[in-house]
Amino acid sequence: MNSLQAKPNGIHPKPPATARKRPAHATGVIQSDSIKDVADSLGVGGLQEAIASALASDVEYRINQVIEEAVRYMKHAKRTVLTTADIDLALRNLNIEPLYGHSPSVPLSFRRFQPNHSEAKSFVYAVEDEEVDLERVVRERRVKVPREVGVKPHWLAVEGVQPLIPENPPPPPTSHTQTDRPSSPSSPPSSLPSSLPLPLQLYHTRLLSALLSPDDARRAAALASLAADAGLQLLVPNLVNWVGERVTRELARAEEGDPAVLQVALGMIGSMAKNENIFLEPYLHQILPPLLSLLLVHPHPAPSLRPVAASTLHQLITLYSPKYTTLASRLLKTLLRALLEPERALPTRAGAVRGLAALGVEGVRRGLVESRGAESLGRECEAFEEAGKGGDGGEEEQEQVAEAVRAVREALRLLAPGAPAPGGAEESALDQAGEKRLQEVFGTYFGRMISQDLDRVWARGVLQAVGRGEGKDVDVDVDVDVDVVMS
Amino acid sequence: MLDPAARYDGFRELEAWVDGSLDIYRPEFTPLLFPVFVHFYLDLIQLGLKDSAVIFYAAYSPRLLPTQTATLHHLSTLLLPVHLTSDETALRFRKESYRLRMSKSGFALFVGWLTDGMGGTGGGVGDSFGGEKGRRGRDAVLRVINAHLKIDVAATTSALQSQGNLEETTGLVSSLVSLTIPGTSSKSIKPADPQSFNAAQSPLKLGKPPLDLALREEVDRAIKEIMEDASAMDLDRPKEKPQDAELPTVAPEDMPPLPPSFREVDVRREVAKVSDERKRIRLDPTLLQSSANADVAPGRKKVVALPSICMYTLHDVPDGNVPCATFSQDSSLLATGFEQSYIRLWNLKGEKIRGLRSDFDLTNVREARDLRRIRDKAGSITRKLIGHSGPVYSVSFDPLAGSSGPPHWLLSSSADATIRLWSLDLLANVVVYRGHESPVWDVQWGPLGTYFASGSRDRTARLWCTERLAPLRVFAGHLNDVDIVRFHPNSLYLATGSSDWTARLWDIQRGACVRVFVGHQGGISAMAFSPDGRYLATGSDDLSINLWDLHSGRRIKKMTGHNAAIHSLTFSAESNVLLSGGADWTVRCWDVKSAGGNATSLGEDVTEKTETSDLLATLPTKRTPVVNVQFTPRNMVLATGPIQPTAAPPAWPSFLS
Repeated sequence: MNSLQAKPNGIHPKPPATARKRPAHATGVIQSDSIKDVADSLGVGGLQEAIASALASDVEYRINQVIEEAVRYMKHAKRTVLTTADIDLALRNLNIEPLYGHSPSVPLSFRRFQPNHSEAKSFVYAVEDEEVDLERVVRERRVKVPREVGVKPHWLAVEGVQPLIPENPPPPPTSHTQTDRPSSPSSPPSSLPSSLPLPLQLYHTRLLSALLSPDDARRAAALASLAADAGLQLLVPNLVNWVGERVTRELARAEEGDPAVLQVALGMIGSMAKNENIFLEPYLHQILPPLLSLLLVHPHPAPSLRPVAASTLHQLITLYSPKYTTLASRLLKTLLRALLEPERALPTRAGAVRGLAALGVEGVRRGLVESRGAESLGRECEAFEEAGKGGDGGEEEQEQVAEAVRAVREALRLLAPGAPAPGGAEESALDQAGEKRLQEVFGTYFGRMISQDLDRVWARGVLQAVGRGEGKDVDVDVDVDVDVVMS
Repeated sequence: MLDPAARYDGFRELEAWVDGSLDIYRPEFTPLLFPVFVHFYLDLIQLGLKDSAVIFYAAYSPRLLPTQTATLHHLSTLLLPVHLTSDETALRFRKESYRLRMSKSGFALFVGWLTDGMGGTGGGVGDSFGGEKGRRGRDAVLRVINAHLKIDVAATTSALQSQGNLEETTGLVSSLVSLTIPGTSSKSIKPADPQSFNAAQSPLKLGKPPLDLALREEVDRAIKEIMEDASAMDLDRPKEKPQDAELPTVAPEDMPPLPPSFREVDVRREVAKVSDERKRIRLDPTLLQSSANADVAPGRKKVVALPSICMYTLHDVPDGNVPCATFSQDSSLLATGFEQSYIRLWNLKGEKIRGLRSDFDLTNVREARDLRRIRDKAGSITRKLIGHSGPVYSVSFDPLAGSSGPPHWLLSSSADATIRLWSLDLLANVVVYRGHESPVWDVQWGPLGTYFASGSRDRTARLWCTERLAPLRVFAGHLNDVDIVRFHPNSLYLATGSSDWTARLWDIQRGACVRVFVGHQGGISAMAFSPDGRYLATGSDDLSINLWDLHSGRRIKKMTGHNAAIHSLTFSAESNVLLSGGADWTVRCWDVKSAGGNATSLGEDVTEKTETSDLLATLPTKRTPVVNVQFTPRNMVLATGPIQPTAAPPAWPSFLS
């Protein structure tokens, strides 16, 4: 071999040893530290590094032997996960006593310890033994009998073709079903499941394109179709999703949002609620969030839509609160929070008032009277007006205040729905006490407003309603939700 | 040579040289890296340089890991010299020569490089380096090659070698055959490679088993009777036209001893065979290509391209896995073995499984009617068989009744190292066969009954006769577990698949190995003989299915497409369609007769496509690994597997999550 002569050829590269410097003891999974820990625990102190390192290497080799043996058992059991049972069988086959007490069905939990002698960041893991009180086990734990193994046949393939039955997995989506659907930019092309019958898919695309068209007549026709046609139930999840997505998207754009889309969305909710052939109840939890957002969000693309949203909400409540008893109280809770939490904007509060009005008399009483919503709202309005008088009062603020006042006024109308008898009882203005009482309940701002209102009958009616409410107030057990809000 | 640096340099230079070689030579040089790497690593361990060995492994193993994961990982756990003396893989590498094939010109280049560091690469290509260091490194390589490698220099100068050829000829193949030539004269001392071993063996008798003359007359008579009963059905024996492809029938004197006289069940089985053949759905995958003449041959049986598959899904299985399952040939019974040591029988016809009562008086039983009277009154369509004391890895129904009636016997093998024979009349364990020392992975009835074979962790396969408690033959030669055993349809040969990556064919009479099938890159997990007796299909842990020609022992083709373990293989009755079931929750259909290979149409990404062109269909199940797939004699397919619970993934130990 010495006769072989090497010619100098090129540069000398660095040997890899310097390129990848590893700590001398890092020779595998089992480190010599672990061996030392184990030795310590067995009462063998002061193990030399060389011995520990050699032992670590050997332990690693032996453990690997056991694992390779166990993998055979795993493979023949046609599994892909190694279990403790495999290890047991492997140990048995290697003439080692198996580790008793581990079951594949009970996952191990480990505890982490930091041994005293070692530096930071080195931990020892130990299996945690659960302490079981035998008496309690005997008394309480009922062993659940597992279900018997069963066998059920089905056709996986008929002459090489998989039948479309629930037992078989759905066929992989073929590319052409997606391409032959017209992909109009306004409709989400991929949201429809391909399992829908083709006519419905067509209807869906047509409907959405009509709803989004600038043509009022087409839009109205589409909404009317949605409100009356039968057989649309399969589309409901998609439509509800669509509404949710669209509303979120438009509202996120604040003032730039497209009011037309929002209006259409509201219209769709209304139409679907109207349609007797559509079973909307399961989707309420999906519909209500966008609706409430439309009502409450402050930088609103179209504040004029708030009343519409409120009326749609009213529609839903009258339809579903009899069947779904917690609906009203849940809504009340949300609305009260919007009305009373300090950092909300004025338009949000106004929206909340409208929402409370949509809940009915009870909503108004709870919100404006009992939780003193009117009083705080009044204070805020007053503050705004003061600021307005101060000089820099923008038109916008004025408009917001006016909207709030309008909302409260409409809400309070619900308290005294009685139509004024023409000229019947106009003679008597409210007396001092009445006025005081109103101001007490609604705060100075709205109290004064009501008492100074031209419509005396209404004012009196409100006063009476308040009086009644006050009388009852003592023994009305206040809803827990409301309680939380007030405190 | 205590300096680890020489080995680093040597390997680094070899790698650079292989990478810098011309494209046409690179495929034959690349296999050099693995054995040289292994021996360098083992050298370092042997010298006690554990740390250097670890550094060497970390630096150079990533390139080899994709192809040699299991071996390399195993070697990486060897860290002390003492391990080398006991570890089998290491010992094999040390004691046997690793064979490589090179062309004449390639070998010349290699020798050139070894001597002066220049061969093969254009001047200055790669960053090979010279000087003292380079020479020492090449010396180290040369030493390994001299001591442990055997390079076969092909006579041809052309460098081209297919990947398949490489798989069959490269590796520690010599020991696979040198051990198995029993008592041959001086020439067997020189270790032969599998090809020459296979070529040296005598030709195989692969034809159909002979039919006893008396039995044949009886069968003909029975068929005539049926014909008279239902004259509309022309159930006569199909014209025996000896096709030119038909293999000659085995001479009766070559057959293993069988019961001298036939019984009624034999007649019934043979009649059922004939009627199955007439009623069989003919499969013809070529119809897929030419759909135009799909309905040819009026009046003939219906011809379809692909089979119909009935899937029996097992649900509520404890832990969601079933080690084995099998259907009886008449499709009336399903047996599954569980890890919880029991076997469960199902009657698929919905009839009750009723055993015989144990408290009857034998003298009262005179005819069949009496037997019916002593059957258990109660029964259900499913029944547990309890007896094993470890996971049950294999079950097999006796083939005596064929498709004419339900089987009477069941064999099972288990981790408790026993094989048990169960009577399906008594629903009880009748015989326990002990002999294997380790878990018995597989047991299989011979095609004619009477005999059965088993394969075990103790590296042997054994042939048994139901009447004797001790094995008749022990087939030793595999270097690792015998994972699966299958009988040739004429019961003259037994095929075994092993974790040593090979399959073997044994002569049952002589107990000698007659063929070695080398080429898989993982243990064998499934096997099937084609009913015409010519081919053997093997499924392996390397996720491929190989089709072998029994006569030559050569690989016909390699079929890939599965992406998890292959559990079961089965041929159609015409041997033209192969079905496989696997842990990837699919059943796949393969065309046996087509050429296969990686056909790539234009614009397709070659790297992502692992499926060979002979994959006819992939039929996914819903979360059900297919444990068993089986053609019935009439070319229907039955498959079974446990559906996996859709539960959360296994809970990791807390510190891993």
